[in-house]
Amino acid sequence: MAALIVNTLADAGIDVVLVGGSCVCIWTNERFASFDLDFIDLTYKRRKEIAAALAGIGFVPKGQTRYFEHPDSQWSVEFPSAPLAVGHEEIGNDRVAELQTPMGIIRLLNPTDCIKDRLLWYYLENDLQCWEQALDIAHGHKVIWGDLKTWHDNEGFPDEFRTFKDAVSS
Amino acid sequence: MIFVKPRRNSFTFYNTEYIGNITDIFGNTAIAMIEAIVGSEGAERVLLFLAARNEGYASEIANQWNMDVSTVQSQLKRMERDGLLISSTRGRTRIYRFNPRYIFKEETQALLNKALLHLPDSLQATLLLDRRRPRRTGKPL
Repeated sequence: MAALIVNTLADAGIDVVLVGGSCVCIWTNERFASFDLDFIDLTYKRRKEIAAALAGIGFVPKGQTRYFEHPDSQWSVEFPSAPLAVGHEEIGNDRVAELQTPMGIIRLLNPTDCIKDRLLWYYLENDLQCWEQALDIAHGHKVIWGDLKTWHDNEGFPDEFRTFKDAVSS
Repeated sequence: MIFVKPRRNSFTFYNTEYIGNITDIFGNTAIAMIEAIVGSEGAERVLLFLAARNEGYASEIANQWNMDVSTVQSQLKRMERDGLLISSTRGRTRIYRFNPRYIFKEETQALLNKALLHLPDSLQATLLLDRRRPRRTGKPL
């Protein structure tokens, strides 16, 4: 579904990156499920342009919210505010991962940035599930530890980096 | 004590001794410092309240500013939708606060904190006075 939406929007000149829980779902091989597809629009299109593109595949806006729904699908699509960032760190195009699927290419947060995203929820909101998700991703993928440490330092969580790294190693 | 704030080509007088709300003799509320940036007086007042109190719910914000609750709710929902605020429920009340993950949170709060300093002293005092400790039911105010 994500690939269908990405390619539909791309055809309309809208370049999006998958973020949030669905990234986790992909990087954990669906051990953590999500039916929310969160996309950041990198092209700064107006909401009505996105709505027009999604209408072509049956997704309609849910009231005045950012959500789009499909009558025949359990998926909901949301477009959180740009820019593409984790905390104060903006993510450039060169860091976005690409995944080839039968429906086309999905652009999404790379595993290290996805870990940052989960850890930020854990550090700010004590969401323990996000901690577990971050560990799961780290166990299954190559982590750029230097980048992750720098991010921890810049976000004001220097001690937490060591805690996380030890947890991954244990 | 009265101060004068020029508004276009006319003058409007504000009674700064009126604690809680600042209104002119025509009943218009004075505050409009960053309306040009945030888009409306209502949005400005909601944001100033949250900047002063760190969190808030629709009816208390409306009561502070003598606004319609529905207008405040509309602003809060919009700001949450757009990522500036997040909310949680306590009992039956939905409490809003600034989204710690909003990328422009520090800059936004810096602007609001500066705006707060430019409010009349009485209004600053009202906004920053935050009685959250419990009060026995029925105890006279």
